[in-house]
Amino acid sequence: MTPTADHIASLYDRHAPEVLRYLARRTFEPETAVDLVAETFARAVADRRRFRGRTDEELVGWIYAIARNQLTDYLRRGRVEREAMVRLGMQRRSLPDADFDRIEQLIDLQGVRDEVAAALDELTEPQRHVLRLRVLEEQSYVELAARLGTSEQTARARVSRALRALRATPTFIRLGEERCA
Amino acid sequence: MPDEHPHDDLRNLTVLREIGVDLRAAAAREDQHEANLILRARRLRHRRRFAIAGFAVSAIVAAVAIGPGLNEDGMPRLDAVASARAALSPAGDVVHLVMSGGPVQPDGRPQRIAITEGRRTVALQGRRIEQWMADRPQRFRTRTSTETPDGRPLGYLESGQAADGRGWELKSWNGSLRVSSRAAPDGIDLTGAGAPDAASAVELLLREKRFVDRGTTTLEGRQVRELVADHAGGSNGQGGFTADTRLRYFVDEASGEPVRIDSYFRPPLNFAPDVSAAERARITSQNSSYVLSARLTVVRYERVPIPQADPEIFQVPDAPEHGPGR
Repeated sequence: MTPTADHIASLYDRHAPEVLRYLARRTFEPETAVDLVAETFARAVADRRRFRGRTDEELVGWIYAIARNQLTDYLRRGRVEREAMVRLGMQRRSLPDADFDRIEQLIDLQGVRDEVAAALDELTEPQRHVLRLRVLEEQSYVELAARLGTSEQTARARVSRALRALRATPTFIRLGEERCA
Repeated sequence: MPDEHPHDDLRNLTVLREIGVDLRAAAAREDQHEANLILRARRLRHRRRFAIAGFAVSAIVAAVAIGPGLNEDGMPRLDAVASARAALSPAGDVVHLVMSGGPVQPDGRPQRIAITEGRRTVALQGRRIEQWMADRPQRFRTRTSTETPDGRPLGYLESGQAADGRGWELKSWNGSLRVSSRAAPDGIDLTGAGAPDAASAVELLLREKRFVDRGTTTLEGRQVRELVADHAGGSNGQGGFTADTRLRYFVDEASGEPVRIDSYFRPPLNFAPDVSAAERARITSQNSSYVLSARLTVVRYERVPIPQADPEIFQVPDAPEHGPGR
């Protein structure tokens, strides 16, 4: 069946909060998550003729598949594509402060910070130092190399090894499993 | 990590509600557009029948327009609807319109309509529309300016119908020309996305005598007559429904010449998925207020006798060279 645009819009009210939760807890960015929700449902409306299922359950599953694809694209490109929103004439909505705070609560950013801090404690001091310079102080690899007294290539390798070590810590593995559950 | 906040809390987010309103309005336009595609074929058949009787009808229209009647004060009364019909009916001339504007958001901001190829946005509909219409045989040409996705002038999108009934669509920026043996569809999309069709929609509804004269009003310092036509929505036969639409057509009080076209529609309300399309249409019609969806201001109107008109205006064009439009 090809769902009508109106039918997909009617599913928005019931499922948008779940989709927002799904995206917010994977992007950790309230504004990005909201943009992805809007683009996900806009894409479902714009691409409704591609849906091959028969039931509402399948339609909701299809919308989640779009959300996952949007998330993957965002993680790969570092930006939200708004093609379907533009196609439908929808404009980007700004995020009021109260909504921002509410979604941050949902993401539990403080919890994430605590978890990441705990994971960092499991690294060696040189690994923590290199991640602090690169991630928190946002230094370029050229600056980082100068601070470490190494070549740029070596600085890149150290950051890469430290990130790999961070991902391998028991705390970080547990955090990832919980967030993807 | 347990979620301490049930999803219901998130329903109160302002931003989600706003996106929901935008999405429902966009969905209504999409379904309306789809329903119109089905209706257009029927309208086209009707239009061809009409074209056969075009001469006689034009003569009647002209006679009605100049037959004034008397008002309650015993003074000659202008039949504004007949005048408007006569002004927009070619009746042997070429009617040439230049309009500015297009679809708008519910809050009045311009709404940009994307022109896509596959899933890629290649252009945006611009805010200038030029249209030529003639009858005996029925012909038209509509040229809509286009812009790049980042707002730079790009060229134009054109559609038309030639004297031999062939239709065409031309994209000036890439030289794409599509010619069909069937005529280009008649325009009755009143909801915004098809704003370039608005003048055709007005002409069609004038012919069908669907406009009601709402009297004199002032528009930007000009005395105009306000004509209103409602077009009832309903189930679209595919599980959805089309919204009620309304056209407010402002014409010069003295001459009946077009001044402005405003189109409105009733945004769909929020329904549970199991509510039937017919019930949605009925409840929306009773409870949703009309919202402006497109506004076109006529910046130029003229009638050109056929012998003096450009003979190539209604011919299927040659594909232009690639690149920015003429």
